[in-house]
Amino acid sequence: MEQVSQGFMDDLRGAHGSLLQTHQLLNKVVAGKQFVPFQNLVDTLHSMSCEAFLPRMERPKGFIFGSGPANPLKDIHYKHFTGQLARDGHGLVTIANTQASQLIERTSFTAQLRHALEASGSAYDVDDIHHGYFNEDGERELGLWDDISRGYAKHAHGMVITVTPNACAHRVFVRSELPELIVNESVESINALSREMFLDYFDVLRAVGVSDRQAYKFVDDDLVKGSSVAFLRGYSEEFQHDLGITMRHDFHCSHGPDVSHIFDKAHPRHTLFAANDTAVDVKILPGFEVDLEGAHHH
Amino acid sequence: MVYKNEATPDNRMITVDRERGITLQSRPAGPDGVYPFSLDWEGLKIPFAAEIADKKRYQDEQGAWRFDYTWLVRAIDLPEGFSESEEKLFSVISEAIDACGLMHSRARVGQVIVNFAPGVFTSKGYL
Repeated sequence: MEQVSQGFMDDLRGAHGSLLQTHQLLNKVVAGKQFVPFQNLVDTLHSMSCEAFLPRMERPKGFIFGSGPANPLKDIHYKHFTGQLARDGHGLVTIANTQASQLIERTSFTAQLRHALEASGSAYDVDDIHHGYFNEDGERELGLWDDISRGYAKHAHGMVITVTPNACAHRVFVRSELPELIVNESVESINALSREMFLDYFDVLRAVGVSDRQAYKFVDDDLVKGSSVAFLRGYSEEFQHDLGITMRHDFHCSHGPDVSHIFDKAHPRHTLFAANDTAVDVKILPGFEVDLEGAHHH
Repeated sequence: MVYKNEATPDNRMITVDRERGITLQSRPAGPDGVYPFSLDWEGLKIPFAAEIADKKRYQDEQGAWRFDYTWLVRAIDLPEGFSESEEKLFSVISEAIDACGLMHSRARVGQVIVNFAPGVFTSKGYL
């Protein structure tokens, strides 16, 4: 395989920021005979916007973030919830609504990335480049999805909802999105709780000598996971059913009563879309009540 | 198994066995590393999702990097009217994933192992 011409690379650079033009150009590369250098592809991806819009370019009311199994016991993935939230007409978006996300998912881009890695004899495959890989120290080197996710979090505003009851500390949400979300002054709330509360907790942890990485993990473990479960549980009875066991674990075992009390406020009725939404007016299913008194005894 | 990885006229990549009427297509995966696929088996569409549970990278005798993959199929959405056995279904999906390699290329792919999660028919949210 031979590298595409300098003229092609100039055209590709000229198409930066345009999904359509980039897609058209990448489709012109002769499969099996030419390849686009790796860095040019990465630069092209980085030129795409990570700002999410609703269809017809409407400004979203809120931003959904997801990671990991929402309920591993029932094998329910976070997309079960993010998809429903996005479909329910509250003006919420996901990372799929960004231009960068739409490019990285395109066959034209993925195929060229694969050709570039093959042509250069890289020790990494497309999956490594997309999602990152673990180095010899057991740390995950970040992938292109981390770049897009960080940009998505940077551009978030207003209300943020996370579907992250079991997010892993090494995955995209904790490594790349949470650090941006808690310092993003355009974000008002995370799971209906004030963003400043998450930032304050992070600052306290840093002040007592906890490393950045550990502090983000603690913020996630102690505040984000619980508020995510509480918010989703308050959203609909179906979500309560699907999250039942996870929720009871988080509230009754992992957290003391002072922290559990915070989660009482993590409810959709405290968010922008609650006023006109009947879906949030749900009954608590028997056995799933938040037992603040009982939390003392576990 | 006479699968081929090839591009469609509109530049989508597919893994296809025309003799048996089986086509595997990738669908947008998102940031979490779970890859949704669509299997067309003699006209029946069978969506499923799988993730790379383990990957071994090594250099072959010529020094070129190669990859062995162990896939875990997390979800299968069986269509109405599907009458083949579970064993046959698992076999066809395993063969198709093996032939697909990674991103519809076997160029640097060595061994492929396909496993199925216990809740593969009842899991939610992967598709």
